[in-house]
Amino acid sequence: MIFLHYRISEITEEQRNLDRIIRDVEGGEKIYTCIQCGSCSATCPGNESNRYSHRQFWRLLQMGRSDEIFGSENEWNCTTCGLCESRCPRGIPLTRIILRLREAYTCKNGVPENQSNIASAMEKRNINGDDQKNRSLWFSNMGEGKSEVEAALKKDKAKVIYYTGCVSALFPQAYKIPQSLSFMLIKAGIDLGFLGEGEWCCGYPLLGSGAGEDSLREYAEHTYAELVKKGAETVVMSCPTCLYVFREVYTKYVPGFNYIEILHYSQYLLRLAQEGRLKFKHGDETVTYHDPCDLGRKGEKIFDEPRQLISLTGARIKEMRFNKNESKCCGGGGNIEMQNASLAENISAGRASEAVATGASAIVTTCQQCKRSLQKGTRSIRARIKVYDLAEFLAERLEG
Amino acid sequence: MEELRIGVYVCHCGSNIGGTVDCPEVSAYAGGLDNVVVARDNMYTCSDAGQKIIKEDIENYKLNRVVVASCSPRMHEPTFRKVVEEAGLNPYYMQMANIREHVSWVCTDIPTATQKAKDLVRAAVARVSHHERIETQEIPITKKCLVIGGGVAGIEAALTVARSGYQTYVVEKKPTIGGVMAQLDKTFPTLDCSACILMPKMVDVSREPNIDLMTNSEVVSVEGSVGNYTVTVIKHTRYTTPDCTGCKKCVEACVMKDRIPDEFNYGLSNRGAAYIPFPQAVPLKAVIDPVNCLYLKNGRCTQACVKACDRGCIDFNLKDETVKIKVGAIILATGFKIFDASRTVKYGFGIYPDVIDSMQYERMTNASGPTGGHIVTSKGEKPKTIAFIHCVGSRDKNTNEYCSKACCMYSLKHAHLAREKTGAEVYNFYMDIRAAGKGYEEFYNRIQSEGVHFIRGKVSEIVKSENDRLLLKAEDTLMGATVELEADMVVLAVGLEPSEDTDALAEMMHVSRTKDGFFMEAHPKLNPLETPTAGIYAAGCAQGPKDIPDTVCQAKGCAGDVIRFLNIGKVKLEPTVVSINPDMCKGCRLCERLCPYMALEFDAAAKIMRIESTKCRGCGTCAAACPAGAINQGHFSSEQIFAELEGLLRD
Repeated sequence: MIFLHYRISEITEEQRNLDRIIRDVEGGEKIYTCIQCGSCSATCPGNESNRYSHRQFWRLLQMGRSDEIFGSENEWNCTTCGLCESRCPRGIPLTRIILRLREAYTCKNGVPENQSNIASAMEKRNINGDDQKNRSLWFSNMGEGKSEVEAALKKDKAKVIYYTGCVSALFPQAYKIPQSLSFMLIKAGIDLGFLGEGEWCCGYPLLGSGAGEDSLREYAEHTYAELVKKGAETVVMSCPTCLYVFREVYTKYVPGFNYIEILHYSQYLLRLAQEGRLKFKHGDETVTYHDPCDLGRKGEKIFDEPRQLISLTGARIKEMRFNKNESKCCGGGGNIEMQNASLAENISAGRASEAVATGASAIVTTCQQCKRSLQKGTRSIRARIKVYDLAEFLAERLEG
Repeated sequence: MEELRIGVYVCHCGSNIGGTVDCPEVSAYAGGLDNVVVARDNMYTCSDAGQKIIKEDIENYKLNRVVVASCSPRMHEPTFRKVVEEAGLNPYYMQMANIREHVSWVCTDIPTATQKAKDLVRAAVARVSHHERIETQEIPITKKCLVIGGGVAGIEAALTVARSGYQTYVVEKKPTIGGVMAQLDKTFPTLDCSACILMPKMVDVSREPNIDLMTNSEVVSVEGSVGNYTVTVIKHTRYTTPDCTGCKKCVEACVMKDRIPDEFNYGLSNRGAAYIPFPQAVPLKAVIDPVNCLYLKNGRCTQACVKACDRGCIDFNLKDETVKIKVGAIILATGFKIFDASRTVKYGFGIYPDVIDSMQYERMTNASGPTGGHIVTSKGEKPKTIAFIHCVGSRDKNTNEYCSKACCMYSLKHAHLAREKTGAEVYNFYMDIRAAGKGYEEFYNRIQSEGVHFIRGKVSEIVKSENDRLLLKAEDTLMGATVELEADMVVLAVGLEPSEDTDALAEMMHVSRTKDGFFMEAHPKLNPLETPTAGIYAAGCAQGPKDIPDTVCQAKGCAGDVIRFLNIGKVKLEPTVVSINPDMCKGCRLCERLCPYMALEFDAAAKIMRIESTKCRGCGTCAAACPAGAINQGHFSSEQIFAELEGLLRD
């Protein structure tokens, strides 16, 4: 129970403001059609760590209770995985409303302390606040293909640009992902290039920290100019979140993005495999596949391509109870680790348990952040199950 | 040519038009147009007083054309045609200008709206000047009725029409009539036995002399128009002769016995290839399922059924039969299919055997069902906890947005039966309980007091619990707490969807459908029985989800309207039928392919097209397409349309 009593007299300016904020979001007015069924609350793994259940939070929003809304931390305790939204019987864009409320919160109260280091890091154009020069260190301990990558990094022009994304490029424990993917692309004889130091973060961390979509405009413009300079026809991504931002945000600011082919590597590799340019060794193993939210339900519903690629290695896929559109969160989205690290770990552990229950020998996924989170999850439940990014999984099984 | 004398009547429609359009100004403007003798504005032109003014003007001013600027012609064109006809003019000397739907309801600015209204009036005046006298033809109709579907809607409709003395055909796709109601156990809110009240009606159908019952049959084509439809029906063979007495010896003998999922029990039991759908089937005759019969499939079977039949009724050489029937009216009573619960993956239907849908539960509670009326889990145990989830597939943008209307009440009934038969703890998860209906709220009250637990919240997902039971997650929204429930059985209250054949029938009969896929009614309030296609009616769940009382009401309503129509015995042909000028037709046959009603035929001897007026529905497609301009559509001649356009474009 939230209140024992409240009186309604006149609509306040505060209520009107909140209404405008909601209506800013495409389809945001649907919040008034919420039937308070509580499906979102019962879906969210973080519901119990909030002051209000999600349903109650939407109710507060319907009634314009600004103080309670911004006094709670509901909108920050969210991985933006979007499962609540996909199950909402009213089709309310809950994730976009959450991000819009973060923005409104920041306008009102300033950036919350535990999100504040994002803004300063992003001044360096990457998620770590590293020197941009470090973006090209990832190949340094690479085995076969190192010299080709080095050459590719120096190319002025290339038809296919691999946009590595911050986690792959800057987190040593993730280096194997760009290494594996580049290795396969080189093996397939692709005219491959990179943006190198010119590659900026896609900007999603800013979005998550409440900076608002407009803060991504300069990122879109910069990246577009870099791609044009290289003569890129195709951009391949290993991070589904970058892909999501390119499609959902960049195209709004730079229409040119509609005319460059932007693909997740699972789409691109499958094409190469179908053209016979990549071949895989056949093994006998059973794996499970985790659908990243930004690649699947929130993004372009890329469910089949990764599964087809796994099957090309002869591996059997044992699905988790919740998969594809219903895939559960890895615990790594929405800047949640900064906000509530223990919640993030609980969510990761939950998903890891689901994977363990399949009896598979490995979890394969297609997102470096999902991989990181699931690795943490498997460690915390002490499970003996390997976690792969699909690129690593495939590169290990590449023929020839 | 006689001198044109036009009267223009501008309607305020209360404030509907008058609030946005300056009607006196439009009327004054109309008064200045060529050939307009009198122009008036009027508060309600369709009222008695308004009609009287038009009639008096026709007499006093010797008017020979009338323009009414008011609402959409859909409702009141017949009204004003009648007015001018009663005043002695041909009814087609009247034209309407729609200044309500096309002007006042879509404009906010008064000067702009008034200008648009003037434009439309000017166009109507220009058009009416070219109107021609049309004598509508009346043709006799076939005084017979076809009912498609033999569920409770079809049964009630057919019995009502037939008992009024009209021959009625009933075509049912399944081997027996009875529909879904024959599968139910009890009916809400009275809890009377469904079979006990339906079976006598089914028998009545088989005994009614005016009913020609065709089961195992399908309608494959419908030609003609209101009053005179020719319907082709395929009577699929049962592979048993009419001598079959339903003794079941072949059923017992069939080598496929108990090997095919029984659709009547929603897969909870098995049947053979030779089977009788259920003990009270009408007609009570065995049928051989050609898809699963080994002999019919690949010619290899001992034919145990043939040996078992004392009367020699089984004949594998029997063939499907095609019959053509002629009827005046058709009632669509094709019912519904249940929502496929496996589409909501989160509930695990098809993954966990103890998550079942409401029809499976219904069969389970039925004494003649697969468990003999015992509610048991997949392990054959009596459940200690049963959960019912309302609104599965309904009220959900991901599946069907509409409320399926019957599920709240049947779930209350199911909860009651669960308590009564098992003594289990029962939990109903709901979003809203919709208990509008006679005795329904009282029934809800009763079930609540019987100790059924009601939790207001939509279940988010079902997983296996560590105790190998089903674990449901929801928010108890009235308490504001997330709740987890361990249950032995979960029943999904699946919604109602249009039956499989709706697509094909809609296309075959040119019947429109509403957004939800069900057959559309001609008017949602004032003509909810007929479809927009004259002479074709929709009864029961074919028109939208509803419960048994509403279905029976609608079926009887449709029957009543059909009886009224058959009593009149004749029908007016559309004035908009086309005519073909034989001197201009070049016989290119372009129109023949375009006509959706197959009303045009090529006269090979004369090398020109001929029109069959009774088939023509006046859609005008051929007239628009004819390269020679040989086709003239009544009331929509090129001259009239161009006059209207010129009127509109002049300032």
